Amino acid sequence: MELALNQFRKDLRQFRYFLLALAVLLVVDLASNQGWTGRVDWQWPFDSTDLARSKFGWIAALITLSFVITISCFFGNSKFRENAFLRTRPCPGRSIWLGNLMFVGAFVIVPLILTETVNLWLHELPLPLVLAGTWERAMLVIPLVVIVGALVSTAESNRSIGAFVGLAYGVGLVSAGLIGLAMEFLPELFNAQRIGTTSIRFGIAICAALVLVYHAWIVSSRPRDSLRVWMIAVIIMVSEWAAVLGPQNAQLRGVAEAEVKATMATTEDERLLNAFSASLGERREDIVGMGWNPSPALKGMPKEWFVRWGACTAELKTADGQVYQAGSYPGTAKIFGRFYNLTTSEMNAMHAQFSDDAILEVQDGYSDFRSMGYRNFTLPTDGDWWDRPADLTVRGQGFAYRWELAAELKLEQGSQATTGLSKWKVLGAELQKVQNHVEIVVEQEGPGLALTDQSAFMQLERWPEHRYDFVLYDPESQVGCTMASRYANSGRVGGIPPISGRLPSCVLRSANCATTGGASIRKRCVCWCFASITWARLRRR
Amino acid sequence: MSNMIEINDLRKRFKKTDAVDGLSLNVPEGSVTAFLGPNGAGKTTTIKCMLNLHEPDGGVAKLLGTESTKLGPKEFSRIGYVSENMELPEWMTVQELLNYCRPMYDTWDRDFEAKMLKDFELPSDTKLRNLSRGMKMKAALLSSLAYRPKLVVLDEPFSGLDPLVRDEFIRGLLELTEDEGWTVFVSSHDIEEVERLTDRVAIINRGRLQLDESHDALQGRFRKVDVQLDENAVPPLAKPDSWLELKTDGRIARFIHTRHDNGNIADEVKSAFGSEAKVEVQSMTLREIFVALARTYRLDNNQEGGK
Repeated sequence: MELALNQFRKDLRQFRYFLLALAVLLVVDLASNQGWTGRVDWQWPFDSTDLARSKFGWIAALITLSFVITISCFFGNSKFRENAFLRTRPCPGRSIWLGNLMFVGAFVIVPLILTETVNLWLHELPLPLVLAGTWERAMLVIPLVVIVGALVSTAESNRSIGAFVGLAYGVGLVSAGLIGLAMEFLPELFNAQRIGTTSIRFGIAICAALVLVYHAWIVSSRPRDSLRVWMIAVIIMVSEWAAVLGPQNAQLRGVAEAEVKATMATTEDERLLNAFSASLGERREDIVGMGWNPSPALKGMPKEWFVRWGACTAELKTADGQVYQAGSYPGTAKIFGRFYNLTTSEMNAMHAQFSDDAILEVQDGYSDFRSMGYRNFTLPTDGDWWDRPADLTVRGQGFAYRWELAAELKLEQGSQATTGLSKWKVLGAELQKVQNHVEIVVEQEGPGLALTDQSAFMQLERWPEHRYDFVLYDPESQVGCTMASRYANSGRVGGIPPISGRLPSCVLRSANCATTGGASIRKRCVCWCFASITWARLRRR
Repeated sequence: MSNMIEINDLRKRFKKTDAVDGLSLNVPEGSVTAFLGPNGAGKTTTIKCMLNLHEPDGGVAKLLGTESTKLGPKEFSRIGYVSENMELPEWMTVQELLNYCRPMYDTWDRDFEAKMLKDFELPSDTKLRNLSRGMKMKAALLSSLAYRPKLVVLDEPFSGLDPLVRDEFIRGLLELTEDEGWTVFVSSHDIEEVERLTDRVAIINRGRLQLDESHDALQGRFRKVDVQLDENAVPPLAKPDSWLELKTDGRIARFIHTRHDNGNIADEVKSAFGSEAKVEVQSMTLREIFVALARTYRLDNNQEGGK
């Protein structure tokens, strides 16, 4: 232990300036997440190019510096390099490794984790969320640092790293598919909403295992190395599986599921499930167009609900026994990304929140053709398929959602509302006489944990799922308009690296809104914020 | 007297090159042995195999009675190793280096450390990266001697040092070696560097040991021979194995005799040239012996390469 502490002291002295820089970056990061600094002051009128300003360079610097310190520490002290200073010194490798690990743990891992904890705590989030975010960050940082440390401090660092990168690439490609299969057979183990995290971690675990097998059996001829490497493999795999199957957001999941059960039991369950089940076995007369989008075809579905499909397969079977595999969508029930479009069913479901006489328009039209997975369900267009009776059978799962009015914003600058973790503020709203439309910019401010577009972890999603949409509504004329597609802040609880807490949430332009009310529209209109927060899981084999 | 280093049939191959090819060598306790050979002879590879920096392909090397592949902290606490290739933590000051190394050794002698620091004239508050090469080697040496190791292994420690610094370095090492009675194994490609320091010489060429003798024995064996031939002398078709670098110029022949201790030069000359001759024998310095051998090895290598 004395030698490990000696190593720890030496590392601390060696990297003191790096640590200072890391501390500065962490403080800047925390400050930006809290909105103390680095805020993007969205301009009014809003210019979409301002979005680019939400990408801050310090995130890259923070990640790079963390890895530089880790790699330099483990590699610089590795006894496996033949000219290493410590190679012929009476300092056991385990003492060096322990000292390095203590140093990296205390000054890289813990600060990275604690910064997240402090960030979430300062956002006044509930304790379960703070703990969940901390857990999630820890399970992301620790295995990565341990893998990097282990790889660069082994006898065959170069080959190990090369193998890791190669395998990571290959495994990364198939891990999502494997998760999809696992979900199919063990759905209760997986939370579809955090499947992004799951697939990445699953990939890391498999990758780590394969690399270490490779290392132990082929590269390393030293039994001690192999044993050490195997121990690390076990740690990584256990921690990754703990992250996938562990208590992450368990309390929230319980709350959400209870909410869904209550909803299903008291109001909609039979109707909803019957509609869903019935629609999965529709005859082909219900199929419209050369492609098939299942969402609008759900007969009997309560109109305030809409369905997003997860993993499923579709099969077209004619009366004479011919079978056509209409395709399969191996997706992971990923509900919302950063960019999304308003589909027909979603639009209908939203309209159900208004009176039947209300007119709800979609700005710029809409398109289902960009819906995720749509093209995978293409049906045959050649031959006589369309002249024969056929059954379409779909197996899979989906999620039914319902909009709820979450907040109401007056159309005046500075108007504010709060929904869950987000604060909404009208940056500006005015009648554009020249272009004859109303324009509004709403800013969302949440626990700024969104990720960069380039990040592999961009797809991580929060729990429970939220999606917000806005309707600019004139109660007098009963005309409303909303956006066909929008860019969403993928803010979530727990994760790296946060980049910005604020994004403009919607820009509405509607000629109708402007012309029906004239200049007085600003006084009458409200901006309704709808959240798709009530959902039900639908499943059929 | 036991052997501090025992090497038996050591082999190390890099791709198609036999860097060490069946080397056997013993280094007795208390001796100062120069491990000499031309560049690329296999000196550094041998030392790396000895210290478990390379895994031998065959044979055994033992240090302090322990096989090289089993050397651990216990053995390294009694071995001091300095190499020209060793990576030093250059961001440290000399004092920080010593503070870092000290806890690793139970036998670290702080008084001895202070004495060497003073004798080597090392500035303790200067970072290693700001020191000259000679001073860096001194700092490395200090960190490898302050715990009074039983065996000191130096791999080309003087390479690149200017003569003045080298002399200082050698003088310091010489004094310490005499005072402490250490066993020292020092490699070099030039005997001039280590001539004053050592009492034994081992020469390696192409991974094979060519000789391993004490200074006295070596100087007793080698002689420079000038021969004045008479009119009837005929240049020999084949020279005896013990002759090196035979050159004839008219009635004058010159060569180096490697077995002066074991033969009669006049008889050998008469036998070789077929007539009486006037023989003049001169003793040789170690440097002259080494140069002659190095030249011979180079010729042998070229001939073998030419084949």
